[in-house]
Amino acid sequence: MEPSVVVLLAGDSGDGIQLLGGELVRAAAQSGRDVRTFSDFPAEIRAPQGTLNGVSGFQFRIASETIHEPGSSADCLVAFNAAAYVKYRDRLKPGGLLVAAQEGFDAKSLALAKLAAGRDLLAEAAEQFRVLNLPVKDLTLGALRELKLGQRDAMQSRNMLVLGVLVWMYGISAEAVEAELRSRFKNNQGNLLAYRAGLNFAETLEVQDYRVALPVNSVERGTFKTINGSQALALGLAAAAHQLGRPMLYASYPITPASEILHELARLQPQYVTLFQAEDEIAAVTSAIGASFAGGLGVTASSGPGLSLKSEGLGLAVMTELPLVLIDVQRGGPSTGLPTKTEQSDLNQALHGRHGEAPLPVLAARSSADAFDAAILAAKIAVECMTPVILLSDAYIAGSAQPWRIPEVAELPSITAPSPRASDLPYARDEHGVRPWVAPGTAGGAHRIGGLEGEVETGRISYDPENHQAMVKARAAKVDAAVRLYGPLEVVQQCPGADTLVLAWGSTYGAVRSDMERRSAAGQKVDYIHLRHLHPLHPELKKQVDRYRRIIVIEMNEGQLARHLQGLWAIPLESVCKTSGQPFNPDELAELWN
Amino acid sequence: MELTSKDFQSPEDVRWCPGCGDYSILKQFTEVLASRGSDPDRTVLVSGIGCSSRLPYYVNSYGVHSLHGRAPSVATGIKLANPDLEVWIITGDGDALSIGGNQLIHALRRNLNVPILLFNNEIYGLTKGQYSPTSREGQVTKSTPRGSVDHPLNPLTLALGAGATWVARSMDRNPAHLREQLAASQSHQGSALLEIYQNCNVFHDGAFEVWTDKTSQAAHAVFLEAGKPVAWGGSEPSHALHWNGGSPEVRELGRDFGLSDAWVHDPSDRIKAFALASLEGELRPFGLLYRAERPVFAAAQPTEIRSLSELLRSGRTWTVE
Repeated sequence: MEPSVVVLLAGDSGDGIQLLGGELVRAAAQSGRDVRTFSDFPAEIRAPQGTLNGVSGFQFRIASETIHEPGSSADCLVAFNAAAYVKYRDRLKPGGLLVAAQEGFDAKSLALAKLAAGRDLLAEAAEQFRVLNLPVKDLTLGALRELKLGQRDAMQSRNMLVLGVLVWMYGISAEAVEAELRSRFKNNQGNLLAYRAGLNFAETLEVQDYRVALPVNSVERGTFKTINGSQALALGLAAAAHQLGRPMLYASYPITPASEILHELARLQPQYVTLFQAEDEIAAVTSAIGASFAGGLGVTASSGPGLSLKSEGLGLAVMTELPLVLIDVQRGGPSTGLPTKTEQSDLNQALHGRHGEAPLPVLAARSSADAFDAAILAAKIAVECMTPVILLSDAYIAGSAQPWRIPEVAELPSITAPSPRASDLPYARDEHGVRPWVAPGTAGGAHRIGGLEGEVETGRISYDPENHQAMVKARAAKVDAAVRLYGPLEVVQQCPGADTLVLAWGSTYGAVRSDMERRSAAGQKVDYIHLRHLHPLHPELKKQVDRYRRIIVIEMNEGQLARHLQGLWAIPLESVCKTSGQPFNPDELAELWN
Repeated sequence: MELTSKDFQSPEDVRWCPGCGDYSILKQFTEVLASRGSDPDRTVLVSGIGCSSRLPYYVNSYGVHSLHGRAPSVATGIKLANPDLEVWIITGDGDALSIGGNQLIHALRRNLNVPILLFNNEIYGLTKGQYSPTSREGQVTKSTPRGSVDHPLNPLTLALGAGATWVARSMDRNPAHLREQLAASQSHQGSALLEIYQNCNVFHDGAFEVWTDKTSQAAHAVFLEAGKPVAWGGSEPSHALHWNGGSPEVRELGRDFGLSDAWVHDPSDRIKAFALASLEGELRPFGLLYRAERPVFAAAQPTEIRSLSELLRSGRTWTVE
């Protein structure tokens, strides 16, 4: 296997784990390693400190070679308190390294973690793991003594102390991290002092035995940054608006985990994306439809419950044949379910969850970086086919970071709006079945559209049976014709003579791909296709599938894609799935089928 | 070239019931569009679902017949994408006050720059006669054969409470008054809520007769005019309102109480507008109750214009040569 290390940071939300992990990962990526992250946090904002409910985790993997996922079990667990250790100890490999913040394992911390008084948790841990008992508090307070801060303020820098230790342990450029911290925390001497103290502690004293060499093996050139799925979607939407050359309205209502896209767009302020925080999910989708009617591109995002609320709006967008992009950042459901955990259980709803005959294109992002491309493609299909499009992401993609090569604007795909042929009728169709986009303000173009069935070509109200049948077929045919915008069918892994095919979609990509590479390395002959498009399916897909004796469909739900494909193809499929709120990891996949 | 109301007639056949109050509203509306120089190519009518919401189909302009209750949201999207368009919301009591209550109040509090024409007939017409949020207690409808037990909602106090900056009432049976209010709603910068009493002659005939019929109108309808006494009763008013320490009091005009003693209508006074809007009995106000100036809803503008390339490179980047 590739040389890589999996680290799991665990503690209270106030421990600064996300910042610590983010800095490490960015510095590792900048030094030429590949990285992937996974955030695991509770739905509560600040559950009581030190308790099991308050623990959040940040897992990352640093590797010399290209990787696809943040790893299975951890080589190193950094536990800021006893509850964090208790919650995540099962994720640490036997013989792995436990870095324990000493003060988080005192009698009070044990009580908060609901452990019997008097237990020596670290001694118990030492039976299974290597234990580095790190006096985080003492070292931090010592390093910051000269600043004469109160203990509470000084302890804010404890995550930087741990950063110093980990930077040294994994051979990341200490100078680069220091430069970064200097520019980031201009006025915070404490963070810098704590960081240096951690670095010195590691270098001079205690942690020599735990150092891991990760040689640098960078190949790709270009300008990079680390990006998570929410950031990628925000940038992808901005890029889509730029490529379209028309205003975009991003309208959404706060919901975890989709809100991060709104936050990111609000921070970036792309001048061609107007933001609207609507009063509810329904207002979000219908204002987006209004923007599309007015000649801009309406975009909305939500998670499962919000998708349900928007489904009537999707029907209107299907009927009016207006472009619309709906991003569904899936989470554990139904209902409020597991709001911060990941699932792919909205697929049925995305494909089928509307009243009437209302087909629309559905596609899925497979990774954080891929979400950028997926957002542009979703906008392209919406505009060039004059249809609502659902883009599926999920909580895992939303919060997981990886290095991203920033594309040049010239590399981005074009998005061409159907021309407003003012003399044409509103529902006259071009050779792809697409109607013109005639926005108010177009002279001589005045027309009325709405939810009532429209007459072929004119769009005037029609209850005529033959007309309805013709329009139902025309709308479906237009969506089917979206395949002209697809790239070639990508077979991610192909082995000569394979008679087994794995199909997967969305965020399972990384774990499935790693699993497939391992199987291939072990001599197992199996091919792998990862679906970008869930509807309409890639026109080459069925032909490809027919070559195999055995088809395995992997997904984070109870077999929704498998059942959908069985309905379409009437062929036997094996379903490999889980619905636990946690993404697959390669170790687990290796066990799940053979 | 000057347009006439005929130029605003769409090719659709009008499909309201014969005798419906909507015909008068449509006629006055297209006349106002023509007389005020609206441009069919730059005008958008947005409606929800219901009898009233069919109106956009009958007007030669751009139009969206959208989802039940969601016209304010669709209009918000249109205005955000192109603030220069003339946009109207056409809605009814069920559409705006029941299923679309949330959309209405948020459009009003944001001061979306759109007139909102709320056709109030106190009944669900298109679904064939169930009681609506403005139906009166005891009203017998198909879904309330023994009389409604729900307390009705007052669209005017709701609008004032939601922060509307222009609130008025008119009626289908008074074309001149209706045209005047429609024109004024169009002139207002911000959300203008115009409640229009509209007779549904099939399911709730005569609901507003006491205020619309010539024989009873004088005694029950107060036609408000800014700067004039709040008085009624005919060409020579017989009664007026007295602002008695904060509560409106009906006074007969005569030696003890003259017109000069009456409450003078001031549409900028929100408290008094609430008092007028709260007249829910046989005496009801018509015309402009309230008007205020407040910035209209608009999208936040970026503080810094950056190219897409700069945007993609924002944050911490590194380059591998």
